Amino acid sequence: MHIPENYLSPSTCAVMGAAMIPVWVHAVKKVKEEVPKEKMPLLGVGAAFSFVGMMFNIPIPGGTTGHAVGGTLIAILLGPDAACIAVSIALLIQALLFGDGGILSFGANCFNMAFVLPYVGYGIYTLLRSRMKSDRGKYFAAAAGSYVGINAAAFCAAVEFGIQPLLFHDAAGQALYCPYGFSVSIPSMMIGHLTLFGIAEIIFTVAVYAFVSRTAPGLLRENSLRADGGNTSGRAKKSMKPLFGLLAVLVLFVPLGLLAQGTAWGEWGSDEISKIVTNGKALGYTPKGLSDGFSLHAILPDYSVPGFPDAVGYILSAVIGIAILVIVFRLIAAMMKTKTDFSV
Amino acid sequence: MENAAAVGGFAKERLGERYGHREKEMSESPRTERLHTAASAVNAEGIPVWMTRENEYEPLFDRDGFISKSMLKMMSILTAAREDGRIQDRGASAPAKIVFSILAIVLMSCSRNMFFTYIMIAAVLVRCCFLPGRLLKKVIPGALGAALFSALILLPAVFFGSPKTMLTVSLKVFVSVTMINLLGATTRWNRITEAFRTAHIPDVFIFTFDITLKYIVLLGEVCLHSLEALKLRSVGRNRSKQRAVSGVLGVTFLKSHEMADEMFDAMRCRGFEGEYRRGGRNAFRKQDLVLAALGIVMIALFVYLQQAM
Repeated sequence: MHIPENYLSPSTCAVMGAAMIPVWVHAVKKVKEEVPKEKMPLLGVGAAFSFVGMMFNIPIPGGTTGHAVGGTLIAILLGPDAACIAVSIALLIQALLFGDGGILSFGANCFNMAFVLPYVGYGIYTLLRSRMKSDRGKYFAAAAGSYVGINAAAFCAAVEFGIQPLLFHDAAGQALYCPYGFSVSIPSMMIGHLTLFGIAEIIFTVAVYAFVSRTAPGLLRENSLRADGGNTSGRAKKSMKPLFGLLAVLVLFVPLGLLAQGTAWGEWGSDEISKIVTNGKALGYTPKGLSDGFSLHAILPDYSVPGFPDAVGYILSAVIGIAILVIVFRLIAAMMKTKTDFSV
Repeated sequence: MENAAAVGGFAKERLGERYGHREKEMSESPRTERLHTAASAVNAEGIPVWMTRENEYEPLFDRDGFISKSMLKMMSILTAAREDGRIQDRGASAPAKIVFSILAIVLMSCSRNMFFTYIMIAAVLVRCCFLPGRLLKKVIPGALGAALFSALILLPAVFFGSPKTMLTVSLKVFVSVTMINLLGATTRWNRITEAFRTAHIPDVFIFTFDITLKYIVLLGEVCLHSLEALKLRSVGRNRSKQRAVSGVLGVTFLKSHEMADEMFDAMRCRGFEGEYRRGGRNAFRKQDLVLAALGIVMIALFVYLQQAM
């Protein structure tokens, strides 16, 4: 679902980026109020989970691939505002270091995966959660939330893709940016996400959610909201260990994501797009915006080190990405002032 | 705020009484005037009138930010020194850490293989993940700054056709500086001086290094106290700021002289003859084995990757 560079027109990118600014401002303000300093590092761990989840590519027949995002999971664990920030930073690191998702289209990617996904997912989750109090209801609510969340995000991405050929084409009718209209983009994006990728998101969300509720219930947002606030910090620190353990295990299995051969829909490089076959015929040309648009060489393009086995590069990328996310949020926590409530 | 103003006013008043003849602005203060004229008047409840009146004295504005600024600087140095004492001496011993860091930095600068650099970056970042935020704040920003600076210096390389150089060198600088910062953030300086002894570095050098670090703290405290005194006594406008500053520095210098003499005598009394003996604190530990193993892995990887190229 990472929209690459030049698939959206610069003006679309600007609009999406502008739309994200108030969301980020709101999220930062909320997180500052709600998340105590001791819990900030957890955001990094959440972002790391999302980062790793996005590395497990799942193939579907037809040659495209997709992945889970885990935005709803972070929203359930830490709140939707925290999820917005965590996923945004994970996306930023993917765009800057690994070339996954464009720099210009960063705003659009954030809109889909860091705004629509966690807020919609969390909304559905809380709605269902208020009806179903049982333990099973909890997991059902999480599953439904994550499924609807990722599909809402995929739909937004499909709309952003599909609107490009309508708005931007040259005199010959050839599209400048993404060449596929709604009739192609919406089915292409949604079939995958309604089926396999949606299920992957459900499995990822429910599995990690169940793992956390069993090993570290103190970390859950519901429990910390219910408990009397401040005293959870010591417990939070101790109970982070199983999470790091799970992350380490996931990293070892990350090369599984490489088994999926094809490129995700809408993420082709400018060299392969003209050969993409839709409805029985190849596109036949490379959109202008793609062939001579803005491009930035990432440090580890496509999560690989040139000249070395993909699996090794993939694991190395996962380790570097996770470590950076954890460090970033640790640093943010260290810079935050300790809140002291003098009114009590 | 009100309290501070009251204290300021009080100090000014006392100064005014003592030095009123010297400073013009002081004698013009309405407060002092009132003291002379209406000191004996008493109101209905037997309280002197001057006590019931509001104090209207307003100290003249003065740019004495330099005092607070030097104080803050001193404080930050002293805090850093104190933080050093809070470092827990648990992991590997200082000599092992120093040797390991130097080995890593040398191998990385010799390596002409990007893969090795990436592995080092991953390793260093993972190590940083386990640092508390307080130490992380000391390690990462400096390393990032150094990397950005070298990227800036190497920017011309991008335009002269070798854009990779900028990336490689900046990443290597980042790892090297992070390694050194990690060493500093997790090791007490007195352990480092001891480690120097293990490496047979001349005693004079170690002695100077040791004493310098110790006396930065002691003299810093003297300096801080003088600045504090100056700050409390500075009310209204100070026309000779140079004198104030040179006073602080002068006192610190005299004090250092005195301390040096005292230390000389004290160490003579204790039989010190300029020769350092090794304490047992840097003895071999179990964790050193881990570092040694890591070092061997690192060398093997280096050799393997260098040949693979």
